Amino acid sequence: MRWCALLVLVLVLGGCGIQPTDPVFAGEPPVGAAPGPILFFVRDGHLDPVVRAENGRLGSPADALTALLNGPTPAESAAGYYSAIPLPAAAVSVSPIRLGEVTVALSLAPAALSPTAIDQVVCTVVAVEAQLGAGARGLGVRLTGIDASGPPRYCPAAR
Amino acid sequence: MTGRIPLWLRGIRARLVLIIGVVVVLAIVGATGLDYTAARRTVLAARQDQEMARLRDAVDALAPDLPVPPDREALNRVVRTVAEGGVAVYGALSSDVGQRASAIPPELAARVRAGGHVVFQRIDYYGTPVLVVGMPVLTVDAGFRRVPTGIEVYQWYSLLAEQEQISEFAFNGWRTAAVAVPLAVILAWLAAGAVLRPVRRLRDGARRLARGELSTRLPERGADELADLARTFNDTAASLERTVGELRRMEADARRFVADVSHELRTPLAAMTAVTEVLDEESAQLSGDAGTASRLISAETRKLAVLVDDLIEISRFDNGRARMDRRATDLGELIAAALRTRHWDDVDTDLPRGTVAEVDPRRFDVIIANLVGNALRHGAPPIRVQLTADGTGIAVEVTDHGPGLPADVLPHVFARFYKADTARTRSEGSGLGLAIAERNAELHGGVIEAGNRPGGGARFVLRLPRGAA
Repeated sequence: MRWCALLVLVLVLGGCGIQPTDPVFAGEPPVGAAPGPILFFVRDGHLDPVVRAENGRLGSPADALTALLNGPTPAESAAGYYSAIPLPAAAVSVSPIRLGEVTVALSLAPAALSPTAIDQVVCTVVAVEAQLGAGARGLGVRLTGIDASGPPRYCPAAR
Repeated sequence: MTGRIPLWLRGIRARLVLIIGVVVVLAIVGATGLDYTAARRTVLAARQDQEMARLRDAVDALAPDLPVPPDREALNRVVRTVAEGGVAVYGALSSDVGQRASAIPPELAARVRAGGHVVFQRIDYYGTPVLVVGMPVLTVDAGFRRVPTGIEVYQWYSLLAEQEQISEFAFNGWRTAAVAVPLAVILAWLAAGAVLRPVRRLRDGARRLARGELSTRLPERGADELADLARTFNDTAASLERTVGELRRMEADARRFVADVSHELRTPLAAMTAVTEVLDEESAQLSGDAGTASRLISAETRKLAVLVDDLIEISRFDNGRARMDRRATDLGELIAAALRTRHWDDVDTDLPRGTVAEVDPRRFDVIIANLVGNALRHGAPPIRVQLTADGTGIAVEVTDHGPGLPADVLPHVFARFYKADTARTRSEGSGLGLAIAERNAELHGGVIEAGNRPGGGARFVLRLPRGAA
């Protein structure tokens, strides 16, 4: 009887207030800090990612795309990287992700690009979006240019 | 266990109040406790989730502008922008504008360093509940895998407001109890009264019944167990009243029969007594069997007359028709006269004169005659009658030197027709003498004590109170 009363008292008084806890896992951490964007160039006929750590920070997808369209740096070229995208191409804009798709507006007709060049653009956009925290898998990239937009394309490296 | 409980706590009322009180307290503690824990969980979860989401989103927004690897200035920028008062860590490097890195709980830091999750921990910071949130900043490698950058952000939040909010819940619980428990106790007290009232009525009824008030009945209100009990009580009382009434009627009938028979016998007996007196005179001349027979008839007739007189006397007692005729009498003289009249001259007496009391002389004479006659018949001489008086009462002691009263006879000496010696079925007495003597003593407000003298022989003491005598 006495022990029961003591137990109730301990429960009533001990359960009051805010109790300290052990560390508790709670959700996904932020993603986004990186030495630089991942750019997809071609080496030995295959897509090959390069981390462009020039600025020491990630930057925006548009910046990354601009860097991609400007081609590899001399050091990257020396390492065997090249771009399949014709040089006078400039990205106009990269839209935010909407319904699992990003729309990239280019200053040339996407139809004029080779499949490898398209993969380069798509994979770079997907990689940067992933670096910014989005899910890479299933993220579609719709290229628009001077002609009408085509179907969404997917990065083979993110499958 | 029950031995340790004080008496006043063992009553139905105390028990009901106690039980209901305990139940109410348990119910309130249970309900309030559940309510309290749920509310506490909700309040804390809301604050924690809000703060974690806010910090995470802020770090998320800032992250693309962060250099990797960061310098101290970059870490300070993180603290200033998103985690004021917190700390940002990159390996051994840490910001120096907010909290110190050494203030991070080590177990929290270990979990954060493991990567992949936002981690929170509540700690007690000198009596203040504090929420510490830590999160690693991730990046994605060329294979699209998420890996830690090594940057970690920690922030501290005081939970004082939440604690006050939660205390308010607890206080509400106590306030509820403070109102509900006295209310429950009062209700239990009243409810116990409702139960106890019929129980008390039942007890009083049973007491009245025990006192002989067989017409006692209880009200049969309601249809509960107590009403059922009252009904049973009433049935029992009714049955008892019927049975006892029947027995009384039968007893009264029997007494009336004895009285009637005695009266009816009296007239022929008077005639027979007259005839025996003639026979007694004649039997002196009669010889042989005729003389023996006539003497026998005469003796038996006299005995029968005594028996019938005794029966009439005792039926007067039974019918409550015995009347007292008190007058101031010198008891010593009265006893002496009683012995003289019956020619009991060889009885030792110690009868101081001057002991005057209000008695019925005839009844007193009957008592003395019965006690002395009994001693003469069953005891052995010398027989002694002693009158003593003191301030409180009068005692007349009759002793003999016979065998005394056996222990098994003692309780029955005043019973009617009780034969001490079963083998001797016929004695000279009617068998009613001591019963009549006792009833007469009772009429005077006194008693007769039967017992044995220390030296052997029976000892009967008539005690009369001075006031009533």
